[in-house]
Amino acid sequence: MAAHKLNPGLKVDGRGARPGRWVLAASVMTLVLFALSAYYVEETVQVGSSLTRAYLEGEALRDLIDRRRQDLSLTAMMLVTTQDVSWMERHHRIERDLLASVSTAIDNPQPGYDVEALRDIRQAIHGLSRVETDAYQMAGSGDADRALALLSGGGYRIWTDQYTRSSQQFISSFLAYLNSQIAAHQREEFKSLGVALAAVIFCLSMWIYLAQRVRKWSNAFRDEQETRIRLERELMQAQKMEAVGRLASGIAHDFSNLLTAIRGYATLARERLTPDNPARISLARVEEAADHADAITRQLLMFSRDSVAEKKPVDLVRVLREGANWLQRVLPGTIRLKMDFRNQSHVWVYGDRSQLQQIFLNLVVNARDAMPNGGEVTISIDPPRQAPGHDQRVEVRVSDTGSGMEQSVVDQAVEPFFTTKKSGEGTGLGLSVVHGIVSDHGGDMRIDSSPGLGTTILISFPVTEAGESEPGIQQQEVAGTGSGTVFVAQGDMYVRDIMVTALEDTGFQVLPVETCPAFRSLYQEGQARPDLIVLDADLPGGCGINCLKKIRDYGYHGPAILVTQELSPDMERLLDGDAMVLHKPVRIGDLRRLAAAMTRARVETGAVA
Amino acid sequence: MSGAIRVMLVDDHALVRDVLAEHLAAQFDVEVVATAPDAGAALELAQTHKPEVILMDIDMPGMSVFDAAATIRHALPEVKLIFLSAYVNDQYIDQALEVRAQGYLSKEESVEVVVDAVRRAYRGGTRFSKSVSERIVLEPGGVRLAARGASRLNLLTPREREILGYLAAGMPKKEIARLLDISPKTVEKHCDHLMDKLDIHDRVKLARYAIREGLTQP
Repeated sequence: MAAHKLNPGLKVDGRGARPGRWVLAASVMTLVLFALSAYYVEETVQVGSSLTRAYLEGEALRDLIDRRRQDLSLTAMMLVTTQDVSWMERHHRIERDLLASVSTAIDNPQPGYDVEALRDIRQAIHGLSRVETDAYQMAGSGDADRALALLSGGGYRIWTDQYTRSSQQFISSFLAYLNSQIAAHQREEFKSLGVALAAVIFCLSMWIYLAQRVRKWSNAFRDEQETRIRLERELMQAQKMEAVGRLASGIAHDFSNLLTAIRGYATLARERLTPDNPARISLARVEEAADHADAITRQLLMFSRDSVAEKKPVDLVRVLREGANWLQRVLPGTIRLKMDFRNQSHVWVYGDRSQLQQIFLNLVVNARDAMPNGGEVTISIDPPRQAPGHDQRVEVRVSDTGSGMEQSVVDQAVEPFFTTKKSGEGTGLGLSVVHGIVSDHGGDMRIDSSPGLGTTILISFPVTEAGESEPGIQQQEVAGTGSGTVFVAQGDMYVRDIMVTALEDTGFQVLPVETCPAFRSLYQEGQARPDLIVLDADLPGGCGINCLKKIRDYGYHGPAILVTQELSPDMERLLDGDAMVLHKPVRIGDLRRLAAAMTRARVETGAVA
Repeated sequence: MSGAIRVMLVDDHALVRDVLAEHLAAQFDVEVVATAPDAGAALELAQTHKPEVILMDIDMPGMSVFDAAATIRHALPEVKLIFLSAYVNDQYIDQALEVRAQGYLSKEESVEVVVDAVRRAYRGGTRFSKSVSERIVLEPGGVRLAARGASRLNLLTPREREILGYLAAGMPKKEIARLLDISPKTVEKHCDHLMDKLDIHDRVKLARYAIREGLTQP
């Protein structure tokens, strides 16, 4: 199954992850702004009402002063003229009221009152009162004309003029005061307005910023939702693939057993027939069909990952060069296989050689089936390049000139068991296996296809550093063959059995012994001469090296492989001639390879034991 | 049949069991003394029939095949065990080596290979499918499963590693011999060995390998 990588997390920054803090800050600022505005309004109302009150009071006083002076002159005139006592009472009452008001204003002056002017007014009232009293007395003594002349004369006018001037002085001072108050308040108002405007601008900016952040959050949230939905979909797909894989594995297992039976019985039946029996051919066909079915089963097992990949640096160019033959074998004569490596001699990827071969085999088989009337399959390897944010990657393309696919088919192409081939012709596993292997190798796969225009499968792999010069298929076969006689000394019977079988499989004739004395006797008996000695240096009693030295003393100068657990520099010094030391753990495969290499080198150089 | 190899077959699939039994019975030197459908039954039958070779499927329901194999090995120390499985996985290989199995065959193998494995096991040999034997390593104290991806560098002795470092640094062999106070012939021999072990026979590639493994600075 494809390895599904999880998304590395959402890109919402730390501050952005807590929108509540910003909303709270903006709300608090707005509240402060409202409170500030309310305070200013209240203050303005209070200042306005106090000024109004002061004005009304001042105006009332001025009105009283102006009007009462007229009343005083009038009542004084009427009293002098009529000598009616009621006018005297009215005159005294007016005068008393006026003096009381003016004196109160002097004693408790309101802001803006010109107290000097008020004192002048009070003085004028007293002055007028004295002239009026003289005039009244003069009228009482029968000299009415002189009395009237007194009330309109210069003495009386001096006081009325002072009264009028002081009254005007009072009112103009008061108005000046009011004006100054209003101007001061206006200045305050301007200041407040400035502060309020700044607060409004700050608050507005804050809300605009908040709105922007909210938009970002909502975008991030939407992205997160989308990512989550995508991951869920991927997870479901992975689970589905996992389930299908398990199912496939189970089916493959049972199927494999049935195939063993079918093939076994067919072989049995074939062997029981005489060589000229025509039924032998039919049975051979049954065996072939069973082999084919077995290949499909193996694909199923590979799909369900029961076969374990062994990864190491693999040269893709080499895989394809060496694979050209067997890839060509699955293609009919009407289809040409072309390979284009863009002049590259090596492209290293980290992977499992046989799984990589499987990829190309499956893709070439698919290409073949898309070109029933012949055509061309091209496998090309682009030069590796650095993808943004990635390691160096190499892109491999497998293109055909076949019928191509509709987009709906492309979308389903990697699903297991999806096939457009006729029933019985395809398993529907080819591309899923490829997809699974590619994912397992850290690669990506894309399908580029249009009906009538052929299909290109693009696979990209991460490039790795050059690996060991891996043996090719042919070299492996050579490495796996040896000839001649090998003496094997190994204390553990089971390990000895395994070593013997491995060396026999390589083509050697093997003579195994358990101990050093047995080994020396075997050599001394002289019935067989070894072409190679494989000694476990950790034989009981630690006699491995001594044993080799003894054999050397007997005249054996051929190659020897010493397998050891504890390796000391002394050991290397003690060894001379053609002895190779292998430090445990040693792979059976390496032992076979090196045994074959050592005996071959000997044959090539013509060395004689 | 006297002198024939006494074989017991254990497989939960009757078809497989039967075809193998029939095939083995058709061999002149093999006698199928018992067949069992699971590991539990195999335990009892092994006690009764005392087979010399037991062929066991690994993927069977019921009692663990490896537990049963260990019990049988204890009761019949000489018995040869060969495992069969559709799967080749590390866990199975490890457990098979643990009970000192004479064979582990993938079910992809032909019946002839199974017969050959029986004969070899009887003679004291072993037979593992190639995919299995590739993963076996000789270790201190026995055989184990290969550590996957282990470097071939581990095959080199300290002296060979030292010489590889000098070679990669471009030092001539004569100079290496002088430095290590050994004969040029011995240096030559070490070079041959380390090249064989690494399967790298080109000095430039050797240098590249040494740099990659950190034996020398580029």
